Amino acid sequence: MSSVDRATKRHRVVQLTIALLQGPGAFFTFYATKWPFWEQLLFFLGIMAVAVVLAAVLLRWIESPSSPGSGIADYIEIVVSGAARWTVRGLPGIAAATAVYFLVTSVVPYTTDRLWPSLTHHEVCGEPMDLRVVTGPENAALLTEAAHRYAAETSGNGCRTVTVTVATISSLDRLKNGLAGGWVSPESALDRLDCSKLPSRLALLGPRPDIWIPDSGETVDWVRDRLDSGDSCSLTQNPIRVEAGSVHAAGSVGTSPMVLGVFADADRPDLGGDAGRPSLAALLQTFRTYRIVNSVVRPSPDTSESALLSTPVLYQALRAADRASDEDVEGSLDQSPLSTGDATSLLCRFRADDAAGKSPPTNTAVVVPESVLARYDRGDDLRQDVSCPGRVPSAKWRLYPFYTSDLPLLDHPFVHLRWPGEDTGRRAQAVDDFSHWLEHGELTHEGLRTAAGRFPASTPYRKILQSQRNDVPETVSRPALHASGCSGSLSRGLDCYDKARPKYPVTLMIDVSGSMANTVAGGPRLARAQGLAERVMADVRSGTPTRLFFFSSVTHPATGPIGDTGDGTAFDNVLGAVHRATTDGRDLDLVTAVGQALPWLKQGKQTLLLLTDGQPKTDPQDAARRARDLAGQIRARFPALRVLTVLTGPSGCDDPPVRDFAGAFGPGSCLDRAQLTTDDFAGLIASEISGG
Amino acid sequence: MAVGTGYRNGRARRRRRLAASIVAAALTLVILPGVKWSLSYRPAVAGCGEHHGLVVAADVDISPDFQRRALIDQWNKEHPGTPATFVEIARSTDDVRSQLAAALGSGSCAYDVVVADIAWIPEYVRRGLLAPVDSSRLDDPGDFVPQTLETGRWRGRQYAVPWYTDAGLLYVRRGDRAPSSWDDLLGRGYATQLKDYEGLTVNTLEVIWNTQRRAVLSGPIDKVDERTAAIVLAGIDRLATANPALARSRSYEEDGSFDAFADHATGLMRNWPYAFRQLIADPRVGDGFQVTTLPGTGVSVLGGWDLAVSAHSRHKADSRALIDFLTGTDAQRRMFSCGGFTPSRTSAFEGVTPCPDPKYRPDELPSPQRFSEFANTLQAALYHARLRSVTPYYAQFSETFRRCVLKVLGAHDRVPGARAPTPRELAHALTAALNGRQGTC
Repeated sequence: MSSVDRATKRHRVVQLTIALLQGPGAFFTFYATKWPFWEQLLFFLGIMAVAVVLAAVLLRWIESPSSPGSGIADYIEIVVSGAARWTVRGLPGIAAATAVYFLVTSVVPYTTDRLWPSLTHHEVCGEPMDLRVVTGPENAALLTEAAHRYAAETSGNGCRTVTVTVATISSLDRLKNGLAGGWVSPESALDRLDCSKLPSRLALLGPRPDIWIPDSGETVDWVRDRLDSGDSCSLTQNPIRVEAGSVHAAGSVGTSPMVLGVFADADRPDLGGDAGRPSLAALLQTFRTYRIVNSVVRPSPDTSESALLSTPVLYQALRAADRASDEDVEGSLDQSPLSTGDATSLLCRFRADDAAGKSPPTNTAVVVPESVLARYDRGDDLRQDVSCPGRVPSAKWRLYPFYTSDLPLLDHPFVHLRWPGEDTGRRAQAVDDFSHWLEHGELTHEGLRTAAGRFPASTPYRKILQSQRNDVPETVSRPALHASGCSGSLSRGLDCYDKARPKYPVTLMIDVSGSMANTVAGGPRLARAQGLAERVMADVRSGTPTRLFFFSSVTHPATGPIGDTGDGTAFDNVLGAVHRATTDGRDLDLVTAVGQALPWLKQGKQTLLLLTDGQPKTDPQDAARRARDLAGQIRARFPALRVLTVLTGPSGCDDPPVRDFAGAFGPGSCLDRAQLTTDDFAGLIASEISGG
Repeated sequence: MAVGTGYRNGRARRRRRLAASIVAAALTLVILPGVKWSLSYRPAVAGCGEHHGLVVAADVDISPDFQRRALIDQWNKEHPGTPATFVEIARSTDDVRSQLAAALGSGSCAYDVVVADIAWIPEYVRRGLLAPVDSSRLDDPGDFVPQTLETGRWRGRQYAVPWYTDAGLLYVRRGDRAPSSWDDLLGRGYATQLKDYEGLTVNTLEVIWNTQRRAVLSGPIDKVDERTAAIVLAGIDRLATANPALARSRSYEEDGSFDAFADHATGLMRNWPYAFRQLIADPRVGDGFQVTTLPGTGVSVLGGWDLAVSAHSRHKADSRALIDFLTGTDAQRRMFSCGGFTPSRTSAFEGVTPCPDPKYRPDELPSPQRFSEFANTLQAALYHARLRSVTPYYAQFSETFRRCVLKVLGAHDRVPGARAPTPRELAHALTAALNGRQGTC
């Protein structure tokens, strides 16, 4: 073989090698990395470029004795052109493989699932695709209605092709942690260091969602920035704890501005109409001048995304109005007796009070999404369940929206979530189809505006919101974003909110006696207590010093707390201890339990939260006397300590002997809202705690 | 040809080939990520979720003292080499079904054992999500209450093993008289579950079966004729014309009816067996009630949850061993006496006593005699219990059925625009739903 032949063979080998490297290189880059597409493309081109240069250098080194005049550029051209030639020769194979792939994954299933049954078994339908949606509580009712419409409209040939389940999650932290860890509830106390380990029990946050519809694109950015924290597991490590593989936001499915809602007595012609151009501060000043509104109610930012997004603007407006600090503003917002979990809880409470014949709170305005207010005024369902049945408000309970230039516009992005090992092309297509349907303004039938902020002429909601004075703008736009202070991003807003919340220590005492194993609505009483404790701990925020005791006839607080973040125990460990609580022993009376915990408490403003189903029946006179003695001791030794008793049910605060115990600590020291959901009840408790 | 011309032509050809090659490479770059994108989440490429140990998929355990979790802990103590994890997906059975259909339907092997509402078994089987059970390997199949074993069967083949079951019971306040017939019960009114969810389906079926004395809409069916529809409508009419006090139940689920009974709003309640233990431990009621089967023919809906092995599980043998453990007599007896779950095995009723755990006060548990009487009543109710419609489209059927029931109730209440369907309309709507098609009354 001549040297030319050998050189040609070497060239061809190198060229073929480079051509063959493209496939695995592309597969590795696009499969193993989680970067955006353009970064992946540049990385792949970089690998190929390095491979080509190395090959050219190597070839030149091998052949330099026989081709001393050839430069590196010549060899690069040889390598590149040859590799490309081999790629072209392989293109028919690539095309054939791709065609086979699409045939197997698309045409065959379509034929077997749809075409063949429709030709041969026209009476029998195929399985509908189950899509799982997660959203905040304020959007659940309207999305559920839209989902039912979609399922009906897409029933081809009478067969249902899709079922859409809508679930809610109110905490952004829980959602973020869920996406990072298989949608596993954070209380499941997983071993962060060992992905392969699973405890004997864990809970999911619900069905793993295919679709997430938050209030704002800012929220999506905030969550996505925090997903790659390094704690997540891969599918091969643990399929239960796997991170969501893709959090991809498509367009908006509808918009809704945050508004200031006032009752009918505040809807006066002399206020003048401005269709939403004043700032919130200016609007509040006008209201104060006319003595219409002197307090603003906002749902809890811990459980209402829209309230969290509005908080920076509220701080700015109320700081200016009252010359107060963020802490003072937050304190007054939090301590409002109307403060609840989210906007639907708030307006459902108004509905209940209206039905009971009460009058609306005077001089009060509420900060809620326009869509929720519109549905309230129209009498639509505000919740998925029937805890808040639809009812048109009486005239005095109607709410009228006022628009501002700075309250946020909720743009409701559609986010497609994909879970490794649990996804198919058919599912992805079904999600895309639903997304396209929603993005055509379908949610205007349920109270949202279009993605462009417009109320279509056909919607009844604009007419509902219109009043004798109030101008409801036909179109709303996003307020100008100023990245300063608390505004500009969800992260900034959260930081400000976090700093503004007081962090007084909380001591949790959970009754783990045998009676807590008995059930109340929805499960064992202990489960209710655990749920409340977990939510309260999340609501009072992780910087709050938290101490945990269990108590029963065999578990005595005298032996010390189960967990205490003040001594360095991680917050998650204390949360895990709550999750792992089990019942043991019989009742321990509350006076003894609290008395045993007192030596472990430090001085200073703090709350002791007792979660129990009540006391065993004892001599009522003795119980009352002992409770008074204990309360006296506490007032003397811990003057800034507040004792709050929370009952899981079935006993209430007015049932003896709890009545005597709670009574010794003054009015408002017992809560027994068994009819509230865990989230709403925990929000109420957290407000009581923050109020101090 | 001059050397220069040949050289220039050659260079031009090389450039053309180079350009074409670059285009081809670019196409490859576009195609491959697209292929990767659609494959990357699929079990065939990403893996199905192999794992060590067993994973049990269930709804949230709301039993007294979490008895199901306790059994898993017991299994883990006795079988350290095959630890099990109890994954509680959601409270709502619809949400649990949605998650399992998505995961198992895409080929995931993340779950080994599935706790399934009996209404979902045909759908899961039709979708290929469950592995069949070798009936010859069942541990003492004759010990199961016969109807309960039927719940895990589809088209003659066993796919699931009954874990615990349910039958409707009547709770009567002390001082009130137990009704002697369904006419008496409907005439007096009672607390039950008539809110728009599965409870409405269950309770309406019980009224139809007991007042019309026909086993309609029960068992495997795929068609409803007009004659059957007429019987169904007659039964719904009886519900609609009952004592107006029954209308309060239209906003109740199990908890709502329980509270109405415990708060003395009514002296009669239809509820599941779990309520017995909860009433005893409730200070508003304690021992102040009695339990009986439903009046007259006493036919109730048979409810319950079965255990099945996922068709994609990589641990099928161990999964079956776990199922044998969980459905064994000892486990069922423990779940009955301490958790309020109704056993599916006859032997679990024998010699059963109240929960022996010393942490309960005497007034929180029934006396041994009381508990024994309750066990007898429950067994009697079970033997008269009847399956709902068995169909792979149960969710759709139940939803359509409820829509039709609400129309009849609305017509009786003179709700504007409400009109009761004719037998023909009802037959058409239910037949469509039984085959997965949209149907409206």
